[in-house]
Amino acid sequence: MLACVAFACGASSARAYDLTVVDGIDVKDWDPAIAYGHESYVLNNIYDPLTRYNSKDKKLEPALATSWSVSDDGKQWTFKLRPGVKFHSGEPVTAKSIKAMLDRNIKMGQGAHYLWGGATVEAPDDMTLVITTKDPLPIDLVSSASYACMVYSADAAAKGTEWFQKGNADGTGPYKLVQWIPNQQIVLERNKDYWRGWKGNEPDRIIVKIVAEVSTQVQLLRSGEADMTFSTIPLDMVDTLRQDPKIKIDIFDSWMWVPGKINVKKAPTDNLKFREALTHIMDYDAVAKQIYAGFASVSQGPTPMALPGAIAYDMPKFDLDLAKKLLDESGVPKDQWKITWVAYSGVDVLKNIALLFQADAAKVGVQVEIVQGDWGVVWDKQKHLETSANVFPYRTWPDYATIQPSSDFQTQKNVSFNLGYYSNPQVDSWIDEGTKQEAVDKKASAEAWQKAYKQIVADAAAMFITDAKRVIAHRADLQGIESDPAYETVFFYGLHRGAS
Amino acid sequence: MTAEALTPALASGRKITFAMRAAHFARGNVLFVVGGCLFLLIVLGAIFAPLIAPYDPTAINFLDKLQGPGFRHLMGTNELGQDIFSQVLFGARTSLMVGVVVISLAIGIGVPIGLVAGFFGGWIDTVLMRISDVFLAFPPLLLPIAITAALGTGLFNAMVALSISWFPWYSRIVRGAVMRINSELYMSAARAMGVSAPRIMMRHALPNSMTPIIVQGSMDFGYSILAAASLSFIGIGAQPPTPEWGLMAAMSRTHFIDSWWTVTFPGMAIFVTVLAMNLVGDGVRDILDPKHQSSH
Amino acid sequence: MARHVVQRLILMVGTLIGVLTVTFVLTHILPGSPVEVMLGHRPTPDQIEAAKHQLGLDLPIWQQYLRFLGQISQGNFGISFLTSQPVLQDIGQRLMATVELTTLAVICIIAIGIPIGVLSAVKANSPIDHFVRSLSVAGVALPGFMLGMLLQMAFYGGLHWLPLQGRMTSAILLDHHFPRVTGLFLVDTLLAGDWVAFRDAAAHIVLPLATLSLANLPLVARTTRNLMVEALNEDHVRTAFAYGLPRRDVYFRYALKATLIPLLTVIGLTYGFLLGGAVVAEYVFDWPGIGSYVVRAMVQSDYPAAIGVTLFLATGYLLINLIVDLLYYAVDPRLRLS
Repeated sequence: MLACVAFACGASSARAYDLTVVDGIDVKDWDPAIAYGHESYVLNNIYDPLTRYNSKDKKLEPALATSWSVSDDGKQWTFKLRPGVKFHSGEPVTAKSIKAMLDRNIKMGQGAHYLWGGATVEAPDDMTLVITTKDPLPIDLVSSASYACMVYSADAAAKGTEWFQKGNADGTGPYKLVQWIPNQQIVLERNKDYWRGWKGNEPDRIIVKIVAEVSTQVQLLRSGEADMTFSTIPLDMVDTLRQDPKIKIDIFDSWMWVPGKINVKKAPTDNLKFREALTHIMDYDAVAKQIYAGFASVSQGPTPMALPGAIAYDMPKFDLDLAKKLLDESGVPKDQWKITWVAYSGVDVLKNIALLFQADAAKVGVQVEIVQGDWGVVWDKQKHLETSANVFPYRTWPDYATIQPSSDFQTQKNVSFNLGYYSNPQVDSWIDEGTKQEAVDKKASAEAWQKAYKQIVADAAAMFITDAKRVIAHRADLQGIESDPAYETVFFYGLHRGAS
Repeated sequence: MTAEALTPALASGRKITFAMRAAHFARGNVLFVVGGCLFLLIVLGAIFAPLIAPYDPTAINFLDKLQGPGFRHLMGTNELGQDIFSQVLFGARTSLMVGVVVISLAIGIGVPIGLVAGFFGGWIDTVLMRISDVFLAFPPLLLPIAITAALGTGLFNAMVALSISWFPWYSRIVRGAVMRINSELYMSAARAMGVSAPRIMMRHALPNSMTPIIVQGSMDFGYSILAAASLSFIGIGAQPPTPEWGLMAAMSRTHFIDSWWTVTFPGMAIFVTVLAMNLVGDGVRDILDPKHQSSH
Repeated sequence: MARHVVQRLILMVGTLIGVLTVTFVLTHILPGSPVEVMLGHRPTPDQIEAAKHQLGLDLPIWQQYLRFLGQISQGNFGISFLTSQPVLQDIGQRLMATVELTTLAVICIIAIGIPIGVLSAVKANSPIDHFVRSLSVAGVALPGFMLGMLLQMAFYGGLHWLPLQGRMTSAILLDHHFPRVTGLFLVDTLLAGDWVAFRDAAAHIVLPLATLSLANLPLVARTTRNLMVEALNEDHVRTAFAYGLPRRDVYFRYALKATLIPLLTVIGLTYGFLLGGAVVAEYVFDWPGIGSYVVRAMVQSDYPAAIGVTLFLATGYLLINLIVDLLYYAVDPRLRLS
């Protein structure tokens, strides 16, 4: 009833309107303490972090915290909060509410809570927050992350997970949640009191429509039923879409990259020369230009170039002759030139990369068996050496502005993301050093990391297949699209319709 | 109609040659003959696919991606630039194999169970039939999906799943047939003469239930192809680079509104194959079991 | 009669326990647990262990089974790993979407298929009959997904007449607050007298409905025809003709009645088949029903959801068959005696 009234009012005013965004996956965890997946797309528009990373300027900007400082040992951080900010429920934002939220997140031990390293939180006064960690940690960067840092009210914290999961939210962000029909749509309404203010041309409501099939999403976009799509559109459709004057495609940098871990503990990839050969069979250019339709660039190192502190390394090139030579030199008998390659389901590009590699590998006599399955299944298999595959490509991105994730190449007793079973004590110590230094000396940290990465490339522990870009397709009259690689979302704030 | 058509030949007292029989048969079973010819064509296409296909069905050629049908690519190309005509041809191999494997497996599992249940009766029958009931209690396609999900996605697992879901139909047919003849005199005689149980089953019970099994099998052949294609379509059957029609249709989903050929040709291939098989199945049924009016 | 019903119901419970066991085993065979998917982008090994422990996934499988049986017997179907919502609630939200689609499909199939079958039988071996028979033979061979995609190409891509997917336009779903009395949008919007929403819901259901109906119609038409041809050759029907009773009376009062029992079986089977067959149609049209839900649950080892839905669908399937059986009794007095 209320909504009907709002709608009627909206119709009478010229500038009130709705925008529709299509997305393939519904929100699973509405609880910001748990959310660690695709829901960040929606939640990052409902909640604000303490600090915000700006990838363009490569620096942190104030959000709910206006200033911050760190002790010399890198273990104690003090944040000053922005005065006068209110949650959607009307509750004011105080250091106490943020302490309640952080304490809850850390205690629950779910989602990306570990980013906080089990920190203790104090609220000496309403506007001051003190965060203390056991080991030096870049808490200023952690506070800007896409996950585990969304500020929700103490009241919401008290109501707990059950309340959130019914489709409730209480943040400070530009939009508030008004309707959730599971698997159909999520409706957000403009938060009139948003602390960053409004220009007046923004939509009153944003409808996030859940449509599982990407092909269907594209068709809704073309018909004008949707203004924008969240999911990666099929890249080979981009050319067709570009010919449609009503549709525009924006390309943003992204921190997503595709490492293909090569299993160093499993024959025949336990052989260094054989691994090197594989890195030369991958047609990196074709992946970036064809499979990604140009919306990716050839990896220049083990981290995406868009990440702060990333540098270029001497990377292997596509060269079948060299690959053949290395294969012959490897000493692996020809009848054992057989490898398994994982392509988990739901990601077309990974499947196509596998097919491309399979076709090229056949030319030099390497037989590639593609193993498919759901992520949960293939990942679990890879974590056990007996059931693991030779090559395991996956898409990944760091949770905040850092050149981690360290666990990807660090020796792991129980493998979680070191999916190639790589182990090198020297590399381990460099990684430890780099991680420790990040809170206090970013330069020293970067140097340690670079040494580690150089060795990893030399050991052919992985083929770094591609650095992906973020592709957002939208109606041409949609403006103000803002996307930062640091955040797995497109910010609704600033989004508006205008002349194309 | 059948009797009338035969009368002139009989009345004239001439010998009925094989060719005459065949011609007569063809006239009376036009659809069967059409289906049979189509089916034969598909089988030939499948066998000689490597010779006929202009391209390697798995070869990727990005320069040629999403080309419409034309001289270079008879049925166009898909998003990877693979030749759809070649894929359709090789897909025939996959689909025929699916039909053969699924039906043979289903018969292989179902027939022994039905024989044992029907022959022994009593609690063995009850237990076996209750188990079959459990399998039949799943709405169609749901059990194959569950089994494929459990075994892991892939064409082979999808075939196994379909056979496991379908075997109870064969068990029931065989059980019914066995029970019917169980009471007949020659079975009692055989038993009285001390012929062993397996022997009785092989010698008497099995041949007597062959006709309904062949009828059911030929009817199910097309359905198994259709079901396997559906499993591939929803992503749990065949996986690339296996040329499979359902999978091809699934992979075309992002383009089909603009590139109609990506879905139409594999779809037509399924349609024609299943149609041909159903016509053959109908014909087989009419010939072997003229009284039966299928409600399958 | 009552005894028969009770017997059948007891048998049904036994079968359902079997179904539950089979589904439980099937969803637990796959290596890897749903926990990995459940926990997001980069869960730590500790988190995975903790979650497995909490869900009892670290127990031996037979203990998990007993635990599960215990929960089910208390009506607790657990929480879906993939949606984080109670399974019963998920089912409740989605079941009616599927029921709406399949029930309408059954109605369409009966309303169109039976008259076509009768017509074909009455005019046996006429051009109409041949046409209907060819169509029905061809119709069975057309894959459901192909039919759906062809309809999308024609009515959405080409003609722009009908929506591509979903159950209702977003804005209408948001602004038209018709009470969800039945969960069937067509009924609910009618009850609320909301014509705009009703028309929108109707427009959305047309293509999936056409897909389901057309895919299953041939079978019913063909069966009706064959049964009718048989019935028309029965003595009493011939007699009725001989006595000069009006043709239409003979067709519908004598002949069609004789085909009722076998026809009921076919319709019951079709309904059950549709519950399963809806999987493909829902997949093509993004219909937020139970079919798309159960596939995802099964493939991603979402045990509670997969088992819950399977149990629901199997119960529905068995109940439909039971009802059909009972209708036999109502239709055919001879059966009541035996």
